[in-house]
Amino acid sequence: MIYYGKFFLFAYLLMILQSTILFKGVLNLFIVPDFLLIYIFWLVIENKESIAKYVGLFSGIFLDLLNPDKTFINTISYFFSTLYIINLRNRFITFNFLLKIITVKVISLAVSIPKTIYLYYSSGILTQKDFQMIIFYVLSNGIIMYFVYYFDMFILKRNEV
Amino acid sequence: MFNVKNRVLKIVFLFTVVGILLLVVYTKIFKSLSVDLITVPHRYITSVFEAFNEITLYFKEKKSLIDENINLKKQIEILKLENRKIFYLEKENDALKKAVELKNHYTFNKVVLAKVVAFSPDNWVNGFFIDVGSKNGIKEGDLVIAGGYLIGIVKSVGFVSSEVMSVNDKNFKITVRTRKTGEVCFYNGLDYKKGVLKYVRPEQDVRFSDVVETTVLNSGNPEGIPVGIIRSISTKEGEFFREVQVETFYYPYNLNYVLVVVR
Repeated sequence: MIYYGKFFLFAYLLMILQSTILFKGVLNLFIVPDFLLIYIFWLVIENKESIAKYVGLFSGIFLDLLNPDKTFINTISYFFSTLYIINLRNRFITFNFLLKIITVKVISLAVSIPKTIYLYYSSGILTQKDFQMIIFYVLSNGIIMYFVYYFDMFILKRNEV
Repeated sequence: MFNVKNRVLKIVFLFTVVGILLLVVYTKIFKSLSVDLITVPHRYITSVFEAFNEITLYFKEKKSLIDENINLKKQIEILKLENRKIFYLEKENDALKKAVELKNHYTFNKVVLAKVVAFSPDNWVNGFFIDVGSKNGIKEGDLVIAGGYLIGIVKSVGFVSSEVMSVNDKNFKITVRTRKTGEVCFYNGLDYKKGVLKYVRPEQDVRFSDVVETTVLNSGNPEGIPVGIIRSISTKEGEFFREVQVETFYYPYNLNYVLVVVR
């Protein structure tokens, strides 16, 4: 229970981090990086695929609960993203740095495009900001993945390297 | 004879030597010369000592000066912090004063002052969280005001916190009217600091720079709260309704305190 609980607790902590006033209130950022998506990706890479599925589902449901509208878009997009990552993981023998970055960017696109389409259908408005949002979302996740890779490689697995 | 002469010479020589010695000792010229002779090297020696003392003193003082400088820097940092704290309190005080002024101006039934504690974790949602909930009497649909303008509506209410959808969110919809002409329109959030008035018919008198405000049509919400200012009016070819853009005043980057108008 504690073993599984810590993964959900960490996802919860990442969600708190994502919603803090640090990014918009203090750093004045246009976009907040999706730490949850990176975390799910990291779980899959670390061969914790079943946990990743549950964490993906949990994150999606939690984000939908925090959405002012009644929607399931986050649940669907996060859960399917987890499945995509698992699928991609099984297609390659090893996941090098470049492949990790590309996969994160592709998955970020897979999350952001359905959300944008959903928002367009629910509001009937599509602006230039939506396209900028997709670009910045993909780029910010790529940057976070870069830092996670180095943290994982040179701090967590320093002895193995 | 020879002996006597020799003795006399010796005595004369002795007196001469003593005389010369007495002359050397008691004459001012020689005294001053001797003094000079002795003091000149000492002057150099003392100057070397002085230099040495100065160097040691410099190192001693440098250490004490460095210590003093560190202490002063520490004091400056503490004072800066205090100054920043005073500045922050001053700003907070101003924000609260404005909120109280607004409250007195509109005579709302009940208003609750709330602090913005977080923003939506989803990038596709334009909203924020406040630190008041059902415990404070907040209900879904209550209007949220900051700086005299409507900035959002309460969408979800917890026991101690609530979620607010901002006026810039694309799913934000509210019935509004124009202040000068009283034309009733339908406001929809659009983008950063932007909104649109939807379904504005060509015959409706909507004017540039007119203030858009809330109406009584919004299920018991107070009327007359400004939502934004009309910034552009255009007609698209082939479309019946006019396109009216509104500038809103929701600015997430300096949001601190907000007022919730409880129905």
